[in-house]
Amino acid sequence: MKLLAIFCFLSLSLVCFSQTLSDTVLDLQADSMTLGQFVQLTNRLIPGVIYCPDEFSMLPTRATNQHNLTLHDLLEYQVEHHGLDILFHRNSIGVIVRKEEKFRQYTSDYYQVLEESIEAAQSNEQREMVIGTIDQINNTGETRITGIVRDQETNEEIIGATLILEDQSIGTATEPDGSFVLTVRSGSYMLVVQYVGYQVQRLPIKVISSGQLDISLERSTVLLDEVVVQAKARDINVQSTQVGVSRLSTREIEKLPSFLGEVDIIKGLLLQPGVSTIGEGSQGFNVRGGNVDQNLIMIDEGMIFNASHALGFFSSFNSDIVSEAVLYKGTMPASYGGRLASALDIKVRDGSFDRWHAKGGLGLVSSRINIDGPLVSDKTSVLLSLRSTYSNWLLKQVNIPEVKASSAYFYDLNFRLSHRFNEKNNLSASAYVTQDQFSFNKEFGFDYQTAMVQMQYRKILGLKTLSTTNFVWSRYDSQQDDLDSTDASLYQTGLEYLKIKENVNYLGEQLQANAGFSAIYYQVDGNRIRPTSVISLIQPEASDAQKGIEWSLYADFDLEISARLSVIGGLRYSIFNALGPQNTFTYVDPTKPTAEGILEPIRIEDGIVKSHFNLQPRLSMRYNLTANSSVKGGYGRTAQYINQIYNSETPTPTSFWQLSNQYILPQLAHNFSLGYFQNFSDNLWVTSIEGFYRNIDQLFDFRDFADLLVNEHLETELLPGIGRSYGVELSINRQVGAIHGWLNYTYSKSQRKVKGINEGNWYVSNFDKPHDLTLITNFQINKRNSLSINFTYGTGRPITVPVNKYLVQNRVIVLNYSDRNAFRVPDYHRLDFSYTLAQGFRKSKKFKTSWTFSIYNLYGRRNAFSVFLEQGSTGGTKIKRLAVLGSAFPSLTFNFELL
Amino acid sequence: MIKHLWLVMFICWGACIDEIKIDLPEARLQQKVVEGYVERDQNKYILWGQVSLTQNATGSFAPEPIGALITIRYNGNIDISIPEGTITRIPIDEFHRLYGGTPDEARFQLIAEVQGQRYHSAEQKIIPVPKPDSLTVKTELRTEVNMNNNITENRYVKLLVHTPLLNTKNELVSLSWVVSSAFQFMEGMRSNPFYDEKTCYSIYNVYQNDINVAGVQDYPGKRTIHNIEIAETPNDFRFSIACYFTVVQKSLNQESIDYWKEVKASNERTGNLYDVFPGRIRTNIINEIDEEEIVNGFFHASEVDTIRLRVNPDMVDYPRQRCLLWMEPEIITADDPDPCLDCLKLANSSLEPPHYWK
Repeated sequence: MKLLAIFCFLSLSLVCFSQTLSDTVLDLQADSMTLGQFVQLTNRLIPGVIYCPDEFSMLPTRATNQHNLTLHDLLEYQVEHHGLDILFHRNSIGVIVRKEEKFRQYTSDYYQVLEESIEAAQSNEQREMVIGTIDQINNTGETRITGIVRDQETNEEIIGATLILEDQSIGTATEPDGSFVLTVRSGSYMLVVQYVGYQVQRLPIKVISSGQLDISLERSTVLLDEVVVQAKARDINVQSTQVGVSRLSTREIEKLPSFLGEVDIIKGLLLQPGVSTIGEGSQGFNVRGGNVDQNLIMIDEGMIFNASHALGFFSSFNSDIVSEAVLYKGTMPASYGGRLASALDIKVRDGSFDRWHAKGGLGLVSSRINIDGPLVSDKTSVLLSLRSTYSNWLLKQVNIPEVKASSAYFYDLNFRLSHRFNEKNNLSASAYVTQDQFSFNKEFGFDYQTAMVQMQYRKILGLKTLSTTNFVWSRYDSQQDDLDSTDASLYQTGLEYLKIKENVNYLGEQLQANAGFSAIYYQVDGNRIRPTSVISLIQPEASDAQKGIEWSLYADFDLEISARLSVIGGLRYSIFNALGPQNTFTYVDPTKPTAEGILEPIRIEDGIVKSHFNLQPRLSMRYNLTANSSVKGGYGRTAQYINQIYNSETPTPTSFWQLSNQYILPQLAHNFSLGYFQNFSDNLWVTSIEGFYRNIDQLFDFRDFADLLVNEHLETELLPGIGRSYGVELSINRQVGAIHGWLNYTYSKSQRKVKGINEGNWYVSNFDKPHDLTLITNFQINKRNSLSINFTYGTGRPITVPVNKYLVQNRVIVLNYSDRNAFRVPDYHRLDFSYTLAQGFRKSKKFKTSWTFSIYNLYGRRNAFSVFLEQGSTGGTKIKRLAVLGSAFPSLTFNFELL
Repeated sequence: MIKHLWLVMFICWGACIDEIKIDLPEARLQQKVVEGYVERDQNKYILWGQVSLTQNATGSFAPEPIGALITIRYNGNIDISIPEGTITRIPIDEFHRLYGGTPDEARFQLIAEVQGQRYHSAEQKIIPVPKPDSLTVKTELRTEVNMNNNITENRYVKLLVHTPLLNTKNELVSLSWVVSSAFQFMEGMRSNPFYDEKTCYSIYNVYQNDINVAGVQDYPGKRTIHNIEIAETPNDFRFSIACYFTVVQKSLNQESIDYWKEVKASNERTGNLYDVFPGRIRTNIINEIDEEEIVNGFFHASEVDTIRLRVNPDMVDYPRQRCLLWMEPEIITADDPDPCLDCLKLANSSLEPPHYWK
């Protein structure tokens, strides 16, 4: 509106263009105004940009009425009486400077900063966009703006971008397909669109009638984006209804210090409150005191059963192609199920529909490249991503015989083909393949791989309804090769599943709903072992294959009851059928199967052997106390029908999966969460305190010295019990600024009670970690240079240690162990550092590069993974510590992006 | 540069093991260890039992019998008192003449009375042991990093056993082996032609803490097992003249083999990521008065058979030689520790060969 007023006093017209900006000829008729206003209006009509530094912007201009004046003369006329002059650069920029500064030497940096400032200024100076037409105007004056928010580079839909009409209390966020609906009255507004990692778009719009408005958001400067782990919008932690959610943008973790320079989503998750691991090199992660296998890990709709490379040092997700990772801790929406503790939903982005794009990196351990672009412009896109290690070559350079004779290799490959039939119908097909091979000194080796293919068909059924149909096939195989002569053998295990899921979203203004069904058919291979040499004493053995099908029906709704109160309610009903044929046993007491209680082996033919039914209600509520604070609560019942079997500290490649059956019951849990969320200083500071309690009313643990490998009556090695975990998570997050970062602290307990272990008393689980603290600080020194320093502290993990020893038959020293998990290793702490040097950013640059130097474990802390006793030949005993990483680990990574 | 970086990294990945000073939760109360065995070879019964106390895990080790009355109950009703901690040998014929019954039906139980408490074991029956077929040795050359982080190539000798699992009653039997060795050692040649260099025989028990067991369930369908490695020792001077391996093969019932496997699993923990969780080792001993008392130990009954292998230098590619004396001191004192000069300085050495030496 201010601009309109100014026009009343100014008439400025462009007469002609000349060869240079300064020679552009203008007609001028204007009253006095500020220099800033004058420049702003001039910029609308010239083919370049005039820049007026803030310090001069409030100076008055002269009233004038002149014709055929060059831009140079015009500006000189307006600024000379203030002791100022105009400095022209190239043929596109003019900048107002003090007279004495005009003839100084200016470096290229100066002009670069100038260009950036002007670009920023230009982005705020867009023309008003008209939506709708006069002939469609509604007599009520009410209109609906619909559209899709996309990434400007890749054309990928952006989930969760916020759209707010400035100075109005109207706003919304985009849905999983990037779409949004805004209901407003006809009129002129300033629409502000924002999403983390993207530049804020301020669009002046004039709404006449209902209409379409598609918006493209431009990413923040390459590698200069803020290192912030946050939810959808800066105030999402207060405004969202779902409790216990962590969202992680991979762009946000790129600059965090990483082990050997490998950017890793899972490692990023470990910095979130309530997420922990038992130590470096261990597979998976623990959420709120849950087992590793109690986390549902999904790439789109495909479940992953081993998400690690190099035996757990890295995750198998290439962060370059991940658009978002969302972790639901306990109280998850009804569309997620099948695991007790959490759901990690990783979304892979589509390839760009309008231009080719390449991105990659070279690190010490591996390199990655991904290429995406349109096969048919705006119709079909393709994305191909490959990450592979060259650690084999490096191992050969090490002058240690065992290392030289060892090999370690992994790769992961992602492929995605997306096609838009029209505005309402999309189809995507994707493939995900990973492989790991490791062998040590020709003595033993591991090999495991995942293959997954999935198809997704999305159809917009109406303005408010979206249907998504998914088909997934996946196979996971794992094997261990023992090369020792008489033990030479090959152990193999694996599983395969087929999943079908149909989901319908309703996207109303006050009510959003989601309903669907899924069916997962599991086929778990029996564990097999066979000899691999003629002198091997290993006999071929195999346990029974298992089959099962998990049916789920679910529905949930997100209802904005009032401006203060919103509710997400949901219900999931799942049926698990354990299927035959099956070779099993009958027991004296089928509720407590033991090896001694076996009556006879039996065979059950095809059909349903056992069915388990579980109704799983889900509820989350939010009540806004003020505009910047809210209270949230949540409850979720969860059930798990597939379990990973291992009785070591961490899952191994020989761990296998076991379906629920007539003896091994599903694991069941109640999850409760309650939190208070408060933001300060216009969402600059985001804080929360969240409590949780999980009651596991059905779980199992392993007997002492359980015999798990190729055991045909595995149920006799499992002991049923109950569990509980509870805690408080505190988070303080400064989201933006030259210095930003976060502090997360979790106090929690995770306990089990199993008859047959520790005399049936409560004992802490292997991943009980009462104190867990993470401090991340990021220093954005300038646009090129940034620094990140992270500190992590956690209580030492529980272990079982020898408490005494005795001599058997005057010959053998026997170590006598404590109750299970009765002791802890020393506390864990670690300081990491990283420095990123990005090149100066220019929009015109097609090739962007950056270097990241990081040191993991800066002060070389030897954090104990375990403490054990080593017996000397004379009976003396030494306490030893195993530190998986015992020194500082520097790394250097080169990243590039070709636009 | 990269080499060194990787060297550091790989060493730390694989071998960041060091000593640490922390307080382990040592048990406040010592627990009792009640154990015993009855073994039978071709000629005699061997009876042994004792009660001792557990020691702190990190403390020095000096277990002592604590003065228990040890009784072996035979066939459920005949009590045979034996001295605690001392092996009692009774010829088979005499045993059955004194106590009746036959070897095939013999059942045994351990009873220990100490400090007002009475402990007894589960009853055990002796299972006949298969006679081992043979022993062989093989050598292995391994490249290793020594204590000074230098790369060295070391030779080892491995002892392998070949044995049936079927006993004389056509039963498949789980087995355990106890290995010991003795070697011949000749002093270095002196310059004095009148000095008669000695030859010693030394008992070498480096294997005492090894647990070598084989359960029948580990070899399903097998009636004979071959190349079971039961000992490994450096290929050094002990093979320079002659060496004898003595292997005692014992029969184990299912509970006994499970016990030994649990002991083995507990002792073989190295603290690595894939270690199987430790547990409470089973026992077949209970306190009759206080059944809740945690008691350690096990009572076994086994038949045993002994087999020996003489290893000559050529079998392990070791040069046949007496001790090499590089420099003979002018005056040899009794304190000189060099066994090349006085072979009796070797541990457990004697001028008398073991009875089986040929």
